[in-house]
Amino acid sequence: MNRFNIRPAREALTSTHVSLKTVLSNPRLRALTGIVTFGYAVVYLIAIGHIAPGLGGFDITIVRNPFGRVFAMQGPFSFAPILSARIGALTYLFSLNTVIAFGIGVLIGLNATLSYLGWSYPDQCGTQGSYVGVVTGLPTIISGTACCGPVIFILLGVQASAVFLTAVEVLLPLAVAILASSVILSSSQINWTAVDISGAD
Amino acid sequence: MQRPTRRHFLALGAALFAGCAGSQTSADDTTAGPASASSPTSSASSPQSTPAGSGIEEVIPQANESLPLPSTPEAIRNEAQSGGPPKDGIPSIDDPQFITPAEVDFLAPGDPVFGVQYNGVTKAYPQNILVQHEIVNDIIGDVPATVTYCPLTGTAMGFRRGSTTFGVSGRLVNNNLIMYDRATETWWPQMLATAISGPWEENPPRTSLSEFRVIWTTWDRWQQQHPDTVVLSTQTGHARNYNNDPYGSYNSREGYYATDAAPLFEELNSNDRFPPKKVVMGVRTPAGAAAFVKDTLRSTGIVRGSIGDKSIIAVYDPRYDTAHAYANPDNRQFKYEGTEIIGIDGTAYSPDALPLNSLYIFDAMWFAWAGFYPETTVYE
Repeated sequence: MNRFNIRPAREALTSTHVSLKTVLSNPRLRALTGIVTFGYAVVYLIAIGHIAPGLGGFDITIVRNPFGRVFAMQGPFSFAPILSARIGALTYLFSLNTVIAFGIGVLIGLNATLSYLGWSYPDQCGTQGSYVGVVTGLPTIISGTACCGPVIFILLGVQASAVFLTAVEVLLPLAVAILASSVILSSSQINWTAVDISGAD
Repeated sequence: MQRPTRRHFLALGAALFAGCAGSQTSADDTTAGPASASSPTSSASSPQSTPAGSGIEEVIPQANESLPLPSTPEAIRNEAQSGGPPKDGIPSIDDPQFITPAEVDFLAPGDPVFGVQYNGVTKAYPQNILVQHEIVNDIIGDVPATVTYCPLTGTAMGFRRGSTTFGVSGRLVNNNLIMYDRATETWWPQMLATAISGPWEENPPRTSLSEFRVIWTTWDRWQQQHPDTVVLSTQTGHARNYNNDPYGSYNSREGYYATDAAPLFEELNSNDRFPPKKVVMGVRTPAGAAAFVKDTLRSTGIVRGSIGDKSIIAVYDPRYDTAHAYANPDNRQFKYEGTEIIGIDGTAYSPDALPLNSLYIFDAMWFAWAGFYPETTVYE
């Protein structure tokens, strides 16, 4: 009787864990990951309109019953803001999309760092292709339905249809799956016995 | 809205990690009232629900006659499609607050507002607020009323709502907002203002809503004519950025609102006689539909037409940059002088006060009007 062999998957995850722990122990690589994470999150929030030019002034307001409304959805993977912060010319809206933005940002940050390693140590890492993971994160930016519908179609100048709408709905989970896979595959290919990242300090 | 405290943030953090995703905004969730510095006054009561199964007529005031539909209610339902957000994903404003013009600091003179003079009350509903809510369940005077706006078809319309409230179904037909009433959950496409079958009420009666006029104008024009108006406040009970119209801009006209820009979704009936977003002012009666090109109204002042065999007349009102329509069965003659309409006996009338029966008229994007009323007559 054939049994599903999970050993390779377990080894890959263990290898990923070790690799990420090693990478993030390096201050410079940790900073690179953090900068990319933050940068991507900001771009994502701008793309979905949660960071945008506002009405001006300085004010923070929070909706009544925020905990009951934090999971209210206004589109696929688009959550209703429960807090608005007017910070001069900009207005920031907090919703679960901020959590999503940073979650995807971490994956992209790790991909970027692994890409950097792959570029620095091409023979030892075999991660030359992990930049694909970074690019994969970009479509998640357009998955937001900023307020009232798939406004991305307006920007792209195409007419929305059920097919396109469905495509937008799967963009984010698809990108997350690809990004996570990319991190696992890239980090598990690194031969740490041949890589010295101390020079990255 | 409330000011956040440390306890708020701590509890919020706990909630974020507590799980349970996917809940929807309920009507009760949208009753937040502000503790605003501008002390806006509340106008509407909390949404009232009537038990499901009640007859529509018992809950919502109806028009005397049903308005025309482009096809059967079932066929229209089959054309409905998701606009992206789920039911109430675009939250209606159910506890609107109002402020005085002196307190308004978020409107430029040329920004569009939807003006209402109804039941002795004058109110302005800014487009930049309604674009993110589409429906305001209000009380105007002592009449429960709903002011609605569909950004995709460029239509602002008012309806009496009786003892219920309206919400955004999340569905569109011909790019137009499909509202639903929270008493019977019947679908009401905004422009058609007529009940159609839907998943939550399969067999509503063929009936239309009782409408009241909403004037699409600009903030400076409205304020000049009605210095005592009140204005819908940005304290809506929702965390939004009301400076961020996701579709574009009307002041100046850009993005989705540009005259040549394509509709977001496929229209019911395509007609390229005019650019898709060219503004027409439409009149529909049980006998049919007629559209007046707004630019023509501006340039000529008076346009005569007909719906079926009944004469109608549309007159331009420069005070608001809008027009008013009237039934004119006796083909009475008027001429346009300055800002007044002069009758054949020399009597001067304000454009909104001709001695004729007024007809409901509203602005719409051409593609939307032609999509719903392909047999429309057009006056240009």
